[in-house]
Amino acid sequence: MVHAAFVFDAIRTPRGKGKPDGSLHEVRPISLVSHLLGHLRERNSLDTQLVDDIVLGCVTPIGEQGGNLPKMAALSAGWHERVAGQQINRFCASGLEAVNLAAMKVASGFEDLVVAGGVESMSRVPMGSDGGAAYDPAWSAQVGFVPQGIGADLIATIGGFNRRDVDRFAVGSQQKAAAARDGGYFSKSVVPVTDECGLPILDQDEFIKPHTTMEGLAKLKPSFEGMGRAGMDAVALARYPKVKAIDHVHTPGNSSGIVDGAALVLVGSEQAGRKLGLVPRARVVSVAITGTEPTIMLTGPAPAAFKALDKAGMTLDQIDLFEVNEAFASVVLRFQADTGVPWEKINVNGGAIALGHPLGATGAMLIGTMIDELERRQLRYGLCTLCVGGGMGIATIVERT
Amino acid sequence: MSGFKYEKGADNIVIVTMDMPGQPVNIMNAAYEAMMKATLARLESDIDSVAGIILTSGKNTFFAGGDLNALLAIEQDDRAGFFDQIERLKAQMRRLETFGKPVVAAINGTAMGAGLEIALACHHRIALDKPGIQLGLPEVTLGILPGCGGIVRLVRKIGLAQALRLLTEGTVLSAAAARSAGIVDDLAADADELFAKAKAWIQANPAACQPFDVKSYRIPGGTAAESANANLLLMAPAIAFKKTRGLMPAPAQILAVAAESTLVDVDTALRIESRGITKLVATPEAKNLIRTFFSSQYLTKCATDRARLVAQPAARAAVIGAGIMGGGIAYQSAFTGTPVIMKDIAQAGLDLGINEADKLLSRRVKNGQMSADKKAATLGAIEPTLEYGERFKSIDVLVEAVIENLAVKRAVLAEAERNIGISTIICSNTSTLPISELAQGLQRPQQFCGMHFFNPVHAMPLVEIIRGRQTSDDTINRAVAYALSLQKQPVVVNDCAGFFVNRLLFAYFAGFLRLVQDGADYEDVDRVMEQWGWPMGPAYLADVVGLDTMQHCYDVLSAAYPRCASTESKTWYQVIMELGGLGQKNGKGFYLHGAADGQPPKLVNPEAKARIAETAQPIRKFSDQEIVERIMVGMAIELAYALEEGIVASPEEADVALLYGVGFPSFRGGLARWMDFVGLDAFCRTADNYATWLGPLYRVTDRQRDMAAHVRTFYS
Repeated sequence: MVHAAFVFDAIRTPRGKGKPDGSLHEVRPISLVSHLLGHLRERNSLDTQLVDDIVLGCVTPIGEQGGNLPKMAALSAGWHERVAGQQINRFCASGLEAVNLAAMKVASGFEDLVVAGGVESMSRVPMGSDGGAAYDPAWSAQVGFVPQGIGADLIATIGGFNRRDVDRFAVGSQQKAAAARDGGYFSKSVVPVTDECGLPILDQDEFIKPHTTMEGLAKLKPSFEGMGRAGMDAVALARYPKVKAIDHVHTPGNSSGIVDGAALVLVGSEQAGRKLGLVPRARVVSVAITGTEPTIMLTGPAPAAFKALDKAGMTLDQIDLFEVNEAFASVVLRFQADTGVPWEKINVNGGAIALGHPLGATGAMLIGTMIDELERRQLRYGLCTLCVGGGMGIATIVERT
Repeated sequence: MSGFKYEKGADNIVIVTMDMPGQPVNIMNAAYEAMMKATLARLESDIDSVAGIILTSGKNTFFAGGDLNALLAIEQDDRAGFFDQIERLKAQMRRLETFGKPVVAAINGTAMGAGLEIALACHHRIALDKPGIQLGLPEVTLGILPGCGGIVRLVRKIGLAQALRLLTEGTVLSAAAARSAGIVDDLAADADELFAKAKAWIQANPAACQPFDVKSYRIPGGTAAESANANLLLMAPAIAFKKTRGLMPAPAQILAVAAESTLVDVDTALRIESRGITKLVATPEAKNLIRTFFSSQYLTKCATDRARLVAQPAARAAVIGAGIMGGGIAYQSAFTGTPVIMKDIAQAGLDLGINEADKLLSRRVKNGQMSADKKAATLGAIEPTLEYGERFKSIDVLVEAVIENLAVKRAVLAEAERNIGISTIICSNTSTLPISELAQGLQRPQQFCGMHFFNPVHAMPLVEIIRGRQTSDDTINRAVAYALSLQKQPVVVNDCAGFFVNRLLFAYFAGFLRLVQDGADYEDVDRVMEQWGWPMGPAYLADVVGLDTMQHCYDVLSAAYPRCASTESKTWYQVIMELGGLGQKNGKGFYLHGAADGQPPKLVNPEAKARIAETAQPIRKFSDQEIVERIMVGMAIELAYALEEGIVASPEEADVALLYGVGFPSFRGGLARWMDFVGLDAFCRTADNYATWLGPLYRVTDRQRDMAAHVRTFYS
């Protein structure tokens, strides 16, 4: 690394329920971003012409989210015309990939100040509406594709996580998230969404269901049993012949929620920070991306975490807090089993099961949540990781400064 | 608060009659909200036994629209409350259309704005097909947007492309045209048929709901995300910008709301629309457009009050002089139903006048606005003649429109007076000649007034009615009545050189001439004035009017208003005329004008520019502010003089006359309003500053200074 890459700020919208009756459904995805860009500029007194690039993750970059939204949002936010923008798609890792890419740009010395982040209005641009190989039978047959939910259930089956295990995890996520929201732990990052007249639209995460119980969750039907029985299980088990049958434990209650939201992370060099009077909140220590077995698909977090630790020359026990994206409960259970990290270090403020997973934005949101919590607890190192479609894993280690 | 009149018949159909007490029309306000709330509550409790609902009006009109006075009162800080109110009103409409019972709007009169929005929230609309009944969403003309579901439901009913055409223009339609446009679903010849059809529809559709509340519903023509609309959405903002030059926020906001409304469910779309109107309602543009609307209503009232005093409306008219203006007046008279004799001294003149009328009528036929039969009948209502005759004895109003020359006009007027009946009034169409002077030599000067039409007559909405020293009130009233029958907006002014509009325009040009003298680039001046909102800048306008005409007006008016006269021996009009340029009419003026159809290219005339540079101060850069002030301040002071001299009776009349007569930017609310906006104190300080080095053009009136001292406004 030529230069250290610092995080100066991290903000996000609240996460709105990703349905037509969700509060952010009425907000254009470009507005979610330009609204945040406006706030980022204001709260850092940012001279925007010094920003080299805006890199945002978006998993369904078509329609309203198409056409290089980051640059267009910068224009509508009135940022300096010199600021460039690009949209990247690494499925669920997009938001964290944006942060990592920004860190790499800065660390390489080629750029000095980059806005990373992501956006996803899942209510307005539905998941999968951009098509892709998953809907291409030729490709599907070649690689033995099954949807993530089947992989998540397979992880549970192999790991021996039964329905009660995943539901118990989900209840914990809800309780922790509710406590964090009510305790104001998110307020440093969350920027309330308003309309153009400044009238309120949504001021805090609305997907959390604090009163979730085991009994309530038990009533929910498995989400992937139907498609599994119809043939998906057979495809998956062809890869995992030792597994007799897949136990379909995941339901809407223990999987990540469909929500709308956006997040931004301001990444830059020490010199850029000095020039602008910005105080670094964290340093990006190392980043990693990796590929894993694609049928089970969602086992990437542990390998990615180890890869990042190797790069940093660190060991697991040096990490004080972990944010492991709760795409499905089994993903986090598997990560814990693979690493042996104590539970009290993992997702201390809940995760996507309670808060929701705005696909392209989530990774960037994890960084903000992590830094806020490292600051609140006065801890040093944090690691964020997500499982990724196609069988990938991503990780980022940050150090509070 | 009790609800609207509620009558349930033996057929279990409830007729809800909106008849808001204490006011001539139904409007959407707090009282409406309370009455609708009570009506909905009653329907709710009754709903099991209700077969269907007919919504109609107890007034002459169905529903007049939003409460503009209430809208005018909404300031920035009131927007949260306004948003909540709009959302409540819309929730009521949503309730009505989701009762699960068929709801029919029996549109028994004009339904404008919010009134049509109520009708759109019904499942079926039947309109009375009678002349004078109008339907439309004209909100854009008031700087706002249809915020009670009009955009959302119209787009879902007729598609994005069709809806945008109506919404961005604020088009108002007859019942039949609204039927063709797909806004109403059926027509009825009379009230009996209206209710019979409404009941029949309810019986045939017992489980009616809105098409968009059915899961399989698709918006006609597709959503904004579909490629079918790509070109529309790509172009529409640019087309709107070209029209408004980005000075009016409403059309762009309407486009944005309409497009976005197709991407979300109806309830979200309605909320997006509420946010759209909330954003517009407190803008100065909306305020000024609403105030301008009130002013123009006031003028209409002044005019109709006068017309009401006239015993007999003009049944026949005559026009003397079949030139551009005479031909245009004859056309307008025939087109609006008053047969007219058109007299000229030359057959060629008559042919020109008839050809002009023919051309205008053919265009209407081609655009499908008129049948060939109606065209023939209209042309037949213009009777060309070279001679006076007995028929002139029976005409009610004679308009003289010969060339702008005092002696010629006097002779023609005297001759005309000898050939008409004793009760006929004579109006002289003149733009500069004093009416009292033209009256000299007439036997019945009390039956004579000025009637200043603007060119082209069929398109320009204003007519100045000029009272000479001896003109009687009855003559003025009859001229006003005739102007109204011509579908023009008359404004009564007292006699002076240039009357009101050209007098003010003269002051406007005085500022321009001096600016160019002092080294301003006239292209720059035009750009700045257009950006301020004028349809065209002064140099371009001078070209369009014609430099010879400009010079003629200058000669006449500089004698009358020396404060506006140039200090130079020659005007820039003369300088360019010496180069052979007359403006647009011969293709050469401040600019070079292409002969092609449509908008001529705006190329500067290098010869003119070079010649001006020889005598003017060296070209230097003026700030936009200085350019605007030097032109508008002088003009505004002239307005103050005209008011003080009683040339024009009120700031309302002054402002509307400039809006309709010369295209004063409507979103600024008028020139007197502009002075109020600036504040008389600030205005006087600015003017005083210019007066010290530019002289009397910028010397404010004593009354203006007094107003400044007492913090008064023209409109208070």
